[in-house]
Amino acid sequence: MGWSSHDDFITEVTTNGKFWRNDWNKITGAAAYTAGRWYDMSALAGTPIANAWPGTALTYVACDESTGNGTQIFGLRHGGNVSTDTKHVLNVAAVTGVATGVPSVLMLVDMCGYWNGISLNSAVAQTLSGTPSLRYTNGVGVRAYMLPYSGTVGATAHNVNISYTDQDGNTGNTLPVTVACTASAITPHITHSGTAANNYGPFLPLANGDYGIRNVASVTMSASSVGTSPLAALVLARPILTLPLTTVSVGAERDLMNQLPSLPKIPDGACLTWLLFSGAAVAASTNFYGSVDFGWG
Amino acid sequence: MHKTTSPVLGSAANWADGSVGAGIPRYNAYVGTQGEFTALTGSGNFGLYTGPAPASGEDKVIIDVQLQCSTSTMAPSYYMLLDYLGHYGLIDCDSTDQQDQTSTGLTRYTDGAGVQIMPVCTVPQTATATCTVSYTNQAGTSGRTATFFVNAANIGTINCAANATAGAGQRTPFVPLADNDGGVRSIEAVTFNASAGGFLSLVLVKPLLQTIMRESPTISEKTPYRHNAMLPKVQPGACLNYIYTSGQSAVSSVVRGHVTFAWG
Repeated sequence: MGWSSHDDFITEVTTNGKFWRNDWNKITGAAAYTAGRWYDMSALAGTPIANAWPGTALTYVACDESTGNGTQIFGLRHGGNVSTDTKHVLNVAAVTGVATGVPSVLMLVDMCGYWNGISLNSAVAQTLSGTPSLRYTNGVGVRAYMLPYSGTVGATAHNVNISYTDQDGNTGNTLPVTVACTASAITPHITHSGTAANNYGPFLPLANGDYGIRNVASVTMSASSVGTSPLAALVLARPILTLPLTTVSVGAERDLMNQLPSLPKIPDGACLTWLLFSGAAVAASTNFYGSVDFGWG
Repeated sequence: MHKTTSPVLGSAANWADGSVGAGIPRYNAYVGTQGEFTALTGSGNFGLYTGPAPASGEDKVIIDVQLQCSTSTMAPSYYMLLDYLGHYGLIDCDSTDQQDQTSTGLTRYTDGAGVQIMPVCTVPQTATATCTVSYTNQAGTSGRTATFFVNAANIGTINCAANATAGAGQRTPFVPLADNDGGVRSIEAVTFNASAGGFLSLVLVKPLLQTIMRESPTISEKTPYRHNAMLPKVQPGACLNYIYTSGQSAVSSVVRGHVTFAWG
């Protein structure tokens, strides 16, 4: 598993063809973004296609490479299952030609799954069902974030809390601090991220000592946002790597073997997608283009 | 490589096809028969010369690339080296009839895995329209459809937007495929919903490598193995050329450079 030497690596990715390149492109929607916030690019048009968050309300939807969410195959393709070999990211690159697209940060995550249909107009605990079968043992490193995907989020202040099972199997863990969602948040803003008081992002903060999530039992909003049928999805995802974009039209690249020796492992079935941190007010219809190279052995 | 001209982007952040430029390799006029796939094979001065064919059992890879432009209006820019597998030429952007295409099959990357569709303007478009492409994907499934949007464009620009509201500067180099298909084996038909003017060539390409040109006239160099932990493989008969996007709009520049290949 993996490579035992540079010679082994060269043989595997050249002679044995254990290599996959993914070229992706995403374009933001009709509304401009706000500086300092995180956005889930899986919901954007382009290549791969957009994630439309289907599923039965409050029931876990598992996501993987080959089937996506069961309706849209929205994750980056990375060459299929390779076990007993292990797959790793070799390098990533991205660029945008729109000035307001930078500075920004792209974060590659493995979206393990989500619960949709969470009402942002409800101030009572919303029980979530379904047991995630995580690709990461015991949920180690798995984090959660929430974003609206349907309806209109109201302008009334509202906070979020969750009750979750941590990496050790302890249930009933809650967020250690008050986490504020954004009034009138747009799709696909990760609603609790931003520059306002009690904003945290891209992931919800975990309780003292926790470093992963196995499952989430419920979501509770502190108040109704008083919106028009606003629905949100709570996502479980494991961060893989980050890629800063600093300058318009100047591509950003990261070599994960020589430059940043890490070779992030990509498990079979990983549903890879990007999160975007907008350092500036990203204009509507801003194009981001990039590539990811994978190798295995 | 020494390109004496390069297609004008028309707007910053558009993409252009460097093969549609004079110099070395020679200008690619996308010659072909309407309604048919024309395979592209690198030979002589058509496409970057990759050297002699390796012996049976040997693989050829890229070990070094270098690029430089002579004018400040060309940088910063982002280049991609592609293997141009072939094209469906003379796609009539004025016609709203279904334009059926016949194919003889890819001669490289025959299963279509990783192969993309790149719409290149060969006669300028003057209006906006939606284009639907019917194709066979990498799994051999026919009738897959992908939709993209064309706007007014110059010759040599890649006229493809993934969003109906996207205008100049908001284009993508490749057609967004259906439901995350992993590639294209062939195109079956092309249909426009309105008259956009001009002609396109739909080019099937395999992306190999990206290179960043930060400023003029500073040379940009890359050793893929050291800088990207990869050794892009080059198949026999590869027809290599560059596409690019730039932060500048009025770009027609001398672009020079080289690509070094090794095999074993």
